[in-house]
Amino acid sequence: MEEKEFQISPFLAFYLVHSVQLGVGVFGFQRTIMKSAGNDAWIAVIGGGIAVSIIIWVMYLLLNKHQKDLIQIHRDLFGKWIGGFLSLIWIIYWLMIGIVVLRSYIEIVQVWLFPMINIIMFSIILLVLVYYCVTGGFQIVTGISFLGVVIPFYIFFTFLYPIEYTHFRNLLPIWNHSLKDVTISTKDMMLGYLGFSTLLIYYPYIKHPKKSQKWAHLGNLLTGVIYLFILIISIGFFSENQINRHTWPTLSLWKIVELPFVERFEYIGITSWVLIILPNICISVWASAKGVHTIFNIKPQKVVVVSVVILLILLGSTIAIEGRENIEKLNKYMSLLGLWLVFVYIPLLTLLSFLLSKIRRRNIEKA
Amino acid sequence: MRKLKRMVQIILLPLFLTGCMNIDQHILDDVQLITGAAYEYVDDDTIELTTVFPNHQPDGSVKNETLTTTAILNKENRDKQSLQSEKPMVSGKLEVALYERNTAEKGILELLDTLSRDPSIGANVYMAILDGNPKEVLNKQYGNIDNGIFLSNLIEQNVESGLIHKTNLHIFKYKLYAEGIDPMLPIIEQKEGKLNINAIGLFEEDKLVDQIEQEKFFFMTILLERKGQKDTYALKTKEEKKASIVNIKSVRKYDIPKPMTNSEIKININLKAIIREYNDGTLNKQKIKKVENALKEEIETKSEEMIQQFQEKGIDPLGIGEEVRTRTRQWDQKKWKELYPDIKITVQAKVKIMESGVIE
Repeated sequence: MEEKEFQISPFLAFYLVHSVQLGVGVFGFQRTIMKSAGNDAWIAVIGGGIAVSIIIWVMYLLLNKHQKDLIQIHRDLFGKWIGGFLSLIWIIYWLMIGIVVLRSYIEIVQVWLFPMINIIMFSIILLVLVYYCVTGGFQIVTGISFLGVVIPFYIFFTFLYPIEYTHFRNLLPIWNHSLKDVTISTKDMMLGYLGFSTLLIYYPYIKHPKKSQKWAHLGNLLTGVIYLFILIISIGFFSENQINRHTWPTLSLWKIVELPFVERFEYIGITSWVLIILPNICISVWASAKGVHTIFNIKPQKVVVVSVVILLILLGSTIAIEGRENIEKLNKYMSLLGLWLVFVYIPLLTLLSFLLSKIRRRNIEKA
Repeated sequence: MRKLKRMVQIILLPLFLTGCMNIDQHILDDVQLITGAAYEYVDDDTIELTTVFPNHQPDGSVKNETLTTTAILNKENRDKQSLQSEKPMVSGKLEVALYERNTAEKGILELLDTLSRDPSIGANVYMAILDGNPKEVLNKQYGNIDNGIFLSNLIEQNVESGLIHKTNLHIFKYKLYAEGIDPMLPIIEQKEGKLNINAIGLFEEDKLVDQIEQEKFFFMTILLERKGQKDTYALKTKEEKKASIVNIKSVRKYDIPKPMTNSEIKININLKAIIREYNDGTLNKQKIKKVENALKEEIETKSEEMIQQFQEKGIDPLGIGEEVRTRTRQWDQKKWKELYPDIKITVQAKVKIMESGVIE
């Protein structure tokens, strides 16, 4: 457990879980999930949300038992070397979340707003802000994620504009896709919820962490509700073949918004979205920095060095990855890794941890 | 103190860096805002693009100006036009896209690409078919604004007052890609120096195949939307005698007992209306009753006539297919296209005249 003065209230887990889940995925998730489940894709959103809630429950089982973060659990269970290696995979995964979010966001800015934008400058400006948050400690990161949920929340009301053009009949007939299609779609939808695994590392920073479980589930619920809301409007607004032609259907929804003072609402929407992705990057960078600290036993005073190195990796990969195809590839690898780690590895680890403690206890009794 | 200094540095750094972001600026006074574009195929692949933009005069009035070029691509045309223009042409303010009739008959799918791909073009651009040569029609000034805004106002005003159906780029694309509904667009013609909407063009996929005339706009709008309002109609009561009717509230309901079979489809319309003008003496109860019955009959026969016309052409602008699709799990577009022309579709109307103005 961390010292009291660095800890946060349990209810803030709500913002931490929700803000890291909601990122750039919202812009294009409809296409991926509607490819297999069509107008039944909303079932997949609910299914994905439930699956994630179960994993959060499993994660709390593990964490409540050990009262430590994932890196220390690894060390306890597998020793220094194997444990350290496994932790490194997780750190790479968290770092990848940061890279994917930043790069995808910049791509959207390039395509929708400023094709000529200088990516290096843009990333540096954003990463300076991230540097400030990360070196400020976990409380600052939490603060950013709180603001990143509350301030840009107005953006979701703008999705009410397209309702004038929606055909909600498109949702009917319910369940005209096979169970297999809906399952594939649910699997695709789970990617939209990824990122909450950072809970594994900031758990010791929560005061009375057992109380925070309820809030983590609620945060996940809010993410699900937002996804569902946007999906239902998209299903009504677009015809199924039409949505397949849009790379970012959510942004295409904004094309219909008409306001007296601005011709294209996307400019306001996309710039507001910075506030939504900022906690995303902050949390993932903070999680990887914290992980590196724990693995290599680096002194807390060296936080600046570690953060700068991590941010430079982030900057380098953001600049190196170019073009739709490569970004898509990166996204695919990240989500594949995330899917295995979160939905397969975590339950296995929890099971193993409980088995091991049982065996150890028996050994002690025998001895 | 040292901490404060660092804070200030961190805050100031982004401010200086923003200058290096290489963001394109478009200052309103320095760009040519295209408000309208008209397309015409001059041969198989080459398009003649006429763009309309306003020229703001020193005295505050607006002069309509056009540029016409031919090329294979739209953006190629844009570049050619930029070579003739004093300011760079930008498409962010595009309000209306016009397609010449023969071009629309040939298919406009390829021409839609530029409108959909360009992020600066909105989804509420109006689309229309133009009867006549775009270059000639758009060269004249019709209002005290440029023709792009004029045409957009013309269509918008008529959509809002319920005379024609809701239309824009998004709705067109929705219907183009949806299964079980075909798009339609207003047809604009130039007549005695004025522009007017004289028909509604009906599409099969992206090709114009048929049209309905002004007299049937009323039936089209009440059949198209689930809930309608404000449409008007001049009902013939006797020779040379008419009553002008305004739709206060109409509700359309489909009754499809056996979807995806060739059994009968019923469309029920419940119309509440008022009379605005009547030129056959005083309006008493019997006469109102008569008007009600006449209107009911008119709606039923004219609508069925119209639907039969659609069925013969194999097009479905009313979205009957969409109603069927959302009611069945056996939806199959191919099969539906075979079934559609032979299905018996009947319209049943209930008309209630609520008021008849301030005099009897």
